[in-house]
Amino acid sequence: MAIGPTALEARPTADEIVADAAEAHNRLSALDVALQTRLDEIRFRAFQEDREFTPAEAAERKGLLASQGEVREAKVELSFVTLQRLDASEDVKRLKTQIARVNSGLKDDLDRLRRLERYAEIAAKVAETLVKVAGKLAAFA
Amino acid sequence: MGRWGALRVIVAVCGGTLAAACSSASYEAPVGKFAAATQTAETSLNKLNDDIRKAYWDVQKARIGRGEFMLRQVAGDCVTVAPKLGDARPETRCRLEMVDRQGKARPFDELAPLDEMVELMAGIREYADGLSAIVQAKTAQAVQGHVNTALGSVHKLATTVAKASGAPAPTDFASPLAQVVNWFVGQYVERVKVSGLRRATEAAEQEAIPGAVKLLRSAAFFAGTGTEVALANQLTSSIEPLGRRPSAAEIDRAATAARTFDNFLRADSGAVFDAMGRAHAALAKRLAQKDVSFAEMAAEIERFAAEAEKLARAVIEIQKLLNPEP
Repeated sequence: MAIGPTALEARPTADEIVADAAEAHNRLSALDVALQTRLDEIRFRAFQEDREFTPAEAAERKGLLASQGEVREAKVELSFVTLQRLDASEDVKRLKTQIARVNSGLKDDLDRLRRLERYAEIAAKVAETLVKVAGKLAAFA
Repeated sequence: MGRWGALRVIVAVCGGTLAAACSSASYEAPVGKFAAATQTAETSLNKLNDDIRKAYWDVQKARIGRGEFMLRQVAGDCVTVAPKLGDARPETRCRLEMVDRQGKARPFDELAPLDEMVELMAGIREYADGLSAIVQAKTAQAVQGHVNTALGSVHKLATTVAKASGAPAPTDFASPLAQVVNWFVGQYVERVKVSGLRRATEAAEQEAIPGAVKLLRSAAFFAGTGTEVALANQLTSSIEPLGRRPSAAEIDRAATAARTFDNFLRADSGAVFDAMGRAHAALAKRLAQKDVSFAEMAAEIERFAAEAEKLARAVIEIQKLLNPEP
């Protein structure tokens, strides 16, 4: 059975995940800015006229602040889901495998250096032992 | 000049040439700094991962609190299933999920979003530590110590044998021979170290680091959103309630919130990974002796270390502000 292209293309790459998320994030940021602009307009008008907010303004501000809170919550949620998707991407798995391979090579090099130290230590011990044995043999001679 | 005297001269000249050509010792400081900065960057990534976890958890709780979602246990969970005689107990869990009015459920847990990427970053830190361990390995000195001991013993042995057989004591062959052997050992160890560093950095540069930098940069940005939103909310809550005649304390609070947010934005949590990528590229090129001077490489590593420190400081400052000690 041939595997259809849709099955292979279903899993987005890290580039695609980030591109989608960045677009959505920027839309939410634009919304946050628009809400803040309206909040500032209301405050500025009251400041210009040196007065408290009217009941209508206070109600609008309450709604604007609630919407801003929701926009920010959506940003957190979007980021969380994006991170989960990135974390599960093939790109991360591939990079993990590659860095593990490099680390394995480094470990081999370190082991080589340690082996060299060990062999030299053994050679020194053998030589010391030979001297001791020779000394004892000479004493018998 | 005797036989051994000539050898001493050769050893001195070759040893000097070797040190100038490819000494791994000169990489000890920059590679050590690269490893330390990588560890700092890893710590910051882990903190950002934890920050977004907490932020997401708070959002989920707020939504349930507002009645947008209903909390329930996962169907079939939170009960035990008795095993048959001799069988192991079947695995059972007790988990919660939140469900919206359309009946769409999602897990309700406190798991951080990054798991594999945390491991990837740990792998990069392990790699940096590995490079550092290679340049810091005192193999040549250790081996040379053992060679001196061994040859000293051999000389003693020759003296003992000569004495026992009534022959004259042998000339001191051990010291010059040790110099020759130690020169070869030094050269071999240097070759293993430098070629190991070169091979590893080249492979990492071709296969892993640039790709990882791109991913980690994006991950740091999105993981930073939890902090960004917390700081934005703090700023809003310090600015928006200000009356017509705010007090000095209220103004200070707003100014502090804005300054901390500004520091966070300027720290650019992703920049540290770009700096890591540039520092690594410079290190790999320098080891391969390609158009990067030692000073340029060291400067890139310094910049990476500075970025890593800047982000670490910003993360600590933000955490203090967002979670003030009682």
